[in-house]
Amino acid sequence: MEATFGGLSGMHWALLGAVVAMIGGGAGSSMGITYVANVAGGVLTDMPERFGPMLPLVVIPGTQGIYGFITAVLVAFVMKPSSGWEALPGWLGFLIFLACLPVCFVGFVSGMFQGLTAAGAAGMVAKRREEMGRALVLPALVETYAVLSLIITILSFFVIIRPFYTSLGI
Amino acid sequence: MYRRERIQAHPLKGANASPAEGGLKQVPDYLRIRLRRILPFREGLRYGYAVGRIRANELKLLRSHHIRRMLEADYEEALHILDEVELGDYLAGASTAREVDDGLIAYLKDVYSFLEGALPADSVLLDFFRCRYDFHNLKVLVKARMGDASEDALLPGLGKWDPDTFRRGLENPLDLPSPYREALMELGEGKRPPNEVDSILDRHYLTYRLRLAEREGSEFMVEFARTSIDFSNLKLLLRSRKMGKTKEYLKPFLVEGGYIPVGLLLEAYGDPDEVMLAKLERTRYSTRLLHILEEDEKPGLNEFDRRSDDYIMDMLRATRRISLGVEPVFSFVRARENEVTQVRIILMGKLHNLAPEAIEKMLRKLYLD
Repeated sequence: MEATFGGLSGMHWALLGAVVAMIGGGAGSSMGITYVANVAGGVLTDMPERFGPMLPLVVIPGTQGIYGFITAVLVAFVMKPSSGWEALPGWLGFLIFLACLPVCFVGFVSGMFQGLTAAGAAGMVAKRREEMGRALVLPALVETYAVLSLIITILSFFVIIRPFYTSLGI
Repeated sequence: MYRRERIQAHPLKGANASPAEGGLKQVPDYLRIRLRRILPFREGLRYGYAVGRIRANELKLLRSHHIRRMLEADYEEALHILDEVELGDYLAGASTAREVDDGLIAYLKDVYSFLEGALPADSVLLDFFRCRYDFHNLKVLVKARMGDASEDALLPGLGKWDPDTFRRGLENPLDLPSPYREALMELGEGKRPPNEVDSILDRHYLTYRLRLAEREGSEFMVEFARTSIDFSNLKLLLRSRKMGKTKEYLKPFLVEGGYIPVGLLLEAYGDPDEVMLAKLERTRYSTRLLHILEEDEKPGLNEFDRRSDDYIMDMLRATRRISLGVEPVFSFVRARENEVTQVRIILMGKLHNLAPEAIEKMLRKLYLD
């Protein structure tokens, strides 16, 4: 088996996948949180008692960063062959890199848009505290696609890595 | 609506203005598109805090049920009803027209202070609203210098600049900031009729607001500024027709930059009502505003003002769907200003013993129902 693919070893491809997943998810989350936190800050200036209902809305765009982190950890620890990174062929590392892309892109985009949705929901909670439940559902709908991308990334990992492990007799 | 309508040309330079003459001289076309696409995110960051603050305060706005109850009530009861909203604190105990005005001015000052504390440092939104009072003060001082009015109508504290700045500027216009300097220089030293002073300063005011809106980069603000120019031009046109003025008289006072080209207005001026309406048929205001000319009992310019205010309020109401950006903040401030207009109409009507129906006819639409 080729040790490299496109000039990079399997380990390098896999770690690159881990890094882009973390960058995409983390960047999307941090931008999303910034949007909603800005609005929440404004609401809390005049209504400090709304901190409780505001907190889940501010936190919810942070999940994409966590999904990026989970992906990176999976690549770093679970995907590592028992015989060491050197055993991972270049093409397999490249496939792991591709498997990381859903979390990277969907996490980035959904994190930003979830922040915007949560910012709108924060305005709704500012006006009517009793609408908290409904307000939380709206950004949670955006979350669905981040969760689906994480599921696809994890499934892809195992589909990709299983034949390799089998070939190694694991 | 305005999100979809892209600004095709520079409103002050016409349809043939080259992109290189605009604000983004060095940026190639493909980059301009990309900058526009990320605008909602940039606006979200810039106006997020202000949007949060206005969301927390939106419930304190005057609603239509307050207006209905105030119309039916006598003056004292109307003041009690206002206690349910923020305005009540400013009007407590007001028993004369002067006291009502003072209370409303104090309220507006606080609205602008609130805005000042909430807006990002680089926003021109506050200047967009306050320049109206600066131009008003300049008008009052110019007319007072010419002996046509007293300085009683000054509104100190609402504008960005102190009236003393303008008093000094009257002696030496070069000391004044732009655009007031240019306005005074155009007025010159000689005596002019008050309506000419009004028209020239209004032209500078409306053009300045359009420039501020362009600087802010908000399509909504540009649309608002251009619509205001159109209303001002149409009102001037209607007034001049009523007064029997010539086209040459009207020409220098029309403001460039609106959606209706000045050339079209001049072309239509002098034609009978039906012909003028046909010429202006394709403008966005035809059905709701210009048909005022076709009504059997021709209403006055006050009715035109009321309808144009309602038109603008409909524009503002459309921004309620926008969760982040300059639009909700802009609409909130306009809603507050509209509140002041409504309450003033009602309370002055009550003080002058007008019938509720007569007062209701003068009222504008509210931002929130």
